Amino acid sequence: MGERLFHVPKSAADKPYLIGSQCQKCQRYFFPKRLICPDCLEVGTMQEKPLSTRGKLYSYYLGMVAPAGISPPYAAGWIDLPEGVRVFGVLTGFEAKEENLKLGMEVELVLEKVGEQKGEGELLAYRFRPV
Amino acid sequence: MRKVYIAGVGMHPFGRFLDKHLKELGAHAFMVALADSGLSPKQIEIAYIGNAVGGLLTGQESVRGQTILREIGLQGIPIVNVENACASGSTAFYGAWMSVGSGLYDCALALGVEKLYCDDTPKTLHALTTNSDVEIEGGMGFMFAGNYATKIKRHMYKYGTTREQIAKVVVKSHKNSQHNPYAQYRNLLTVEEVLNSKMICDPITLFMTAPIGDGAAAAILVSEEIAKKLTNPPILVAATVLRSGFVPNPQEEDVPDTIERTAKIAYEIAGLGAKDIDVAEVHDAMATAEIMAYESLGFCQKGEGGRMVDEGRTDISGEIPVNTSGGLIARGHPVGATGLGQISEIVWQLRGEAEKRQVKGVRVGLIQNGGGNIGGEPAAMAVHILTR
Repeated sequence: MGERLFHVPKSAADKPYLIGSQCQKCQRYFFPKRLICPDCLEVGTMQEKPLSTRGKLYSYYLGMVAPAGISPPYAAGWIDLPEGVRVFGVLTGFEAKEENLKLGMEVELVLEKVGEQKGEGELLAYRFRPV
Repeated sequence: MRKVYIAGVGMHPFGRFLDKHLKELGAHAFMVALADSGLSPKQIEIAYIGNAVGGLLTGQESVRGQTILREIGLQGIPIVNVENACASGSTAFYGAWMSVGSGLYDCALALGVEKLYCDDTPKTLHALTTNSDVEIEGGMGFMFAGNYATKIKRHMYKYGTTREQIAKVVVKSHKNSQHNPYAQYRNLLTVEEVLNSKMICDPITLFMTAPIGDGAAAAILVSEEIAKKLTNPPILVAATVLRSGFVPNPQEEDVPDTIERTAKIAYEIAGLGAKDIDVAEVHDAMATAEIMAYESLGFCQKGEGGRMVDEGRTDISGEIPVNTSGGLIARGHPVGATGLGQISEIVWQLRGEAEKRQVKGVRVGLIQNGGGNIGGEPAAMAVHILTR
């Protein structure tokens, strides 16, 4: 499932990244990748592009309740990547509390195992870690 | 498009009705609307049924409309099942409006119905996560309340909006709903009680969120010819606009949001402006959304939403009363029914039937009803303007 959205590293030197797309006509980037640019609405202008793995936290929330599979408290938010896309992501790799969260802080993409999928092995999700 | 009028509205109270079936809730709302209109059920030519998560929570994934309308003798006519998350009710209304406005039909039913309460909160909450893209948001830890928190955090940072102002929206909603026999909650609350209720995600506490509940609401729309023969004063649909949300350029500030874009079209079609609105029902899934809706709808400048509440300008006695019904927070939010519940309240206001919630001199009412999430913006947005 994840291969549509992010690149899974094949070796230790290989790094994960989000798979976006860029319209070759208007130059705008999108995540998730689109087949057709919503601004230009022309066939054939979209090209798959890897996105930067570091961005800034545009805004966040600290959830004292959480959806299934996540233990509260947990933080998540919208991350602005340099290409001009805004991505939703759960924040990980730190203690989720107000003192550790700040609007505009730098974060980087990581892949985490979030479960097992029958017959397909590990279930991976992309998350962001404060830098 | 021909002129379209609302002949009748009706609701089943919003609340928790574990023992009532979707069919019973829907039938009740329909019967009340039908009696209100004075029409015969034989006159209904087409029906739109709005329901969001009936499949996940009751198992009836398909043909919900047909199963509900069979209870009340409506069969054979075209029945359209519509879903737009929390804007399903407005989407049903939009379909009914298009049917009559286009001239294809003279009388159309819009019915919204939902059973959200199943005595299993995680099950309900999981169903609600499906109103986001499950591939990237809904299935990846996205929480609806969280998204509202991210927006209000920026608002607080940019404009100094306070937690107390958010809490005052809830206090106002409960003050209004005590006079609403259809409301899920009719208890008064203080700012302290709201702030001290369970923290969901700062600054949003439990009392600032719309509750889980069940209910139904209906509206019957008719042509001018039929409207002229009614005993009720007919209510004109001056504008009804449905749009989908998108993020034009995520990192650009001060871009009109989905509410503003949709409302602008509605105002243009109706030939009216924000200052012409006498009463409004807005989509306060969280109290923070109400504050931001004041701004997006043009009731005040950007950043002034919190002050509007502080100054009582959206109270029943204020200059632009908002959510006289108690809003989603106090009246309740059975998602598929909400839009039609909001429309019912505005119809009652326009007819002078809102009793202790009545605003004086109402001639123009506005409804704003959003649904779901796409990239942080509401996936669906409806704005209706109704006039006497």
